[in-house]
Amino acid sequence: MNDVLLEVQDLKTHLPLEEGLLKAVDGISFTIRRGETIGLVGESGCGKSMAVRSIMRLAPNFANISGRVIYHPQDGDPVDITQLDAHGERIRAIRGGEIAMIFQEPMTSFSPLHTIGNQITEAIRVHRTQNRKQAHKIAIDLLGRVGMSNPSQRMSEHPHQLSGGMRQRAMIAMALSCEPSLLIADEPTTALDVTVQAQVLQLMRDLQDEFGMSILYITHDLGVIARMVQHVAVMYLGKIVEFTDVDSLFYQAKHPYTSALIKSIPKIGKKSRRRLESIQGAVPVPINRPPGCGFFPRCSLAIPGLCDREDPPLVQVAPGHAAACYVYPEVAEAAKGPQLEGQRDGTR
Amino acid sequence: MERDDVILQVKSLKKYFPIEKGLLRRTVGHIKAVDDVSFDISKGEVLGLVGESGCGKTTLGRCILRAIDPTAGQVILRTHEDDTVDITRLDKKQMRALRKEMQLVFQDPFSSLSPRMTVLDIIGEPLWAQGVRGKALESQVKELASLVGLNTGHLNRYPNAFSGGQRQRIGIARALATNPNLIVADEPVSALDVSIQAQILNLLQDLQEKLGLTYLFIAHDLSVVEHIADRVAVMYVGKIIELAETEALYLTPQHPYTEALLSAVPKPDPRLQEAQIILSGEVANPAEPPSGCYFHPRCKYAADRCKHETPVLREVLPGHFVSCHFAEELELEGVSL
Repeated sequence: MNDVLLEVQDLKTHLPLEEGLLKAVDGISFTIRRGETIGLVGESGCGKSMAVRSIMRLAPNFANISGRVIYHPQDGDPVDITQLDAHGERIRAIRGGEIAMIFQEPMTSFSPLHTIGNQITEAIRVHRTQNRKQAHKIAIDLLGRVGMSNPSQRMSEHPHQLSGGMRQRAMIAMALSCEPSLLIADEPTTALDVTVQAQVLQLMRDLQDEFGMSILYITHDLGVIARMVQHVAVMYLGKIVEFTDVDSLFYQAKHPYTSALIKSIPKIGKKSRRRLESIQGAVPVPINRPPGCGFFPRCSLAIPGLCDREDPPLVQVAPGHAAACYVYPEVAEAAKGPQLEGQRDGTR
Repeated sequence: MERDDVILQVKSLKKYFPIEKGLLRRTVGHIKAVDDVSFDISKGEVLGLVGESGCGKTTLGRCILRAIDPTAGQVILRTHEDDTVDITRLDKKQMRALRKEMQLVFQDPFSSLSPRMTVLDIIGEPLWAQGVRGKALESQVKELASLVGLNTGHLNRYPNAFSGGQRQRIGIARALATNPNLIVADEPVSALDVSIQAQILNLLQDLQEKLGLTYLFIAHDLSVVEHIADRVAVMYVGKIIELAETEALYLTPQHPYTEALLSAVPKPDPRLQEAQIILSGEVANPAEPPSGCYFHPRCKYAADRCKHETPVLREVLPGHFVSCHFAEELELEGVSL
């Protein structure tokens, strides 16, 4: 059996705005295997949310999307999601059925007018069974499994009657109701308190063991990354600048942005009055961006005349470890020579 | 507890919000947002105040600044003239004169700056209120702007021309304008991106050292508080449940809630992912708090006594205050290094 679940190849989402061309996602490639958890980490505006929205075909209508997103179903032929009719039957079967998504703010992602039960059974009836009673039973069972007390009573409650943590549990129950092969989680615990966050993270890990789905986890929180994922893609200004396993990311970061980011966060249990190592400047807006490496103006290792000329490609610089930075000779080499398929897809 | 050089003393401060119901808006109960809180801050100290959302930390900060009137208790501030004033007893006019002694840095740098005022006007407004005018005003604003690392050539621009981190610098400059004795910083970095957080934390720390500032630093992020605070107070449902020197609180917590809170923080290190303490349930509703110790329904060490008897904040080790009946018996785990 093919263990590749989703391949993203050179995905670009460009938004023509009045102010200019916003390159929200600018050529990213990665692969998700069955059962694994991949993290997509970056600061606000780096394009991580727009990337997953493009994968789900939920990007704004006026966006210019190119590249390929190949989904390999359990049985059947691979499909390129970008080629599907945006409102067609196939994408609607995949979205919510085979690929499910949970969002940051469960208050705004549930309809305030319908009960939790109605919203979850609706998803089940679209994707799994027409039988109303059966759908109801599946929903109650799921609410119990995500740790909600008194699930049959919760079914008839509206979203505003639940606390933030409970809403997020209900959201997870809804996402898992159709037993997806891939769960996309976009900052699912950012709006939650730290003790509730710990509960929800634990829940997602337990459910992954049980259901065996892959998770694409999007967050800005490096603590959550360290806890949840196996492989990480670091995004900066619409591009993946580093891709590696989680241990190498924290202990042998290759890209100057990644290592600066890791150094800039205060670590709990390491009290010192020392200054934090901050990254100077701010993330620029990716509208009408000049050529060259996006991190160049803030980078302490920047090489003038090289980094400000052309974008560094993402190239393997150590086994299983790709980075897009000219300090590595492999990258400079790849930028010069013809770009081979394998080098562009710097994953594994 | 007598400490040296105390600049702010909070004594049994309470803020109850009435719950009104029905046509006649009868008061049917109270939300005890701040419930009998006492602590003090010394000059040049940074006191961190942590807790989860709804624990009353912001209400406490606002009561101290008298942005809202507390229900009971005292807030005693030492002014520049070395007078001590209970600010809860001042009338509007007296309060106005005292405002310059205390300033606030807000969480959201986008909604806390007027979009219709230039940066010069924003930073200069507190000075204007104190009667500074003309050239003197402008030169003081310039000085403040360069102190917080803003380009003094950009002072005629509007806030929308600045990024989140720069706006927070504007907010800090405004807070510093009147040379306050106390700065209350309410989640000053939580709206900022990771790479910008460090810049603002460094700035707050540099300013504190340079100007000898005193901060009440309110935040939910335990790593940020540990980095900046000298002492830390932990709040749970309107009460301070533990207060100690930062290192003591993080390495040897004495309250089960603090232990669980520290354990729940995801550590940015894949090799330090030991089992976490997962609390069941959620923060108690302050309108109907549980009997006895508010934390007992979630506490894995809870005994019968905790259901009936409300613990008081007491000193269990020198300078280490905790409100738990069993603080001496429990062997709690702090942050592992």
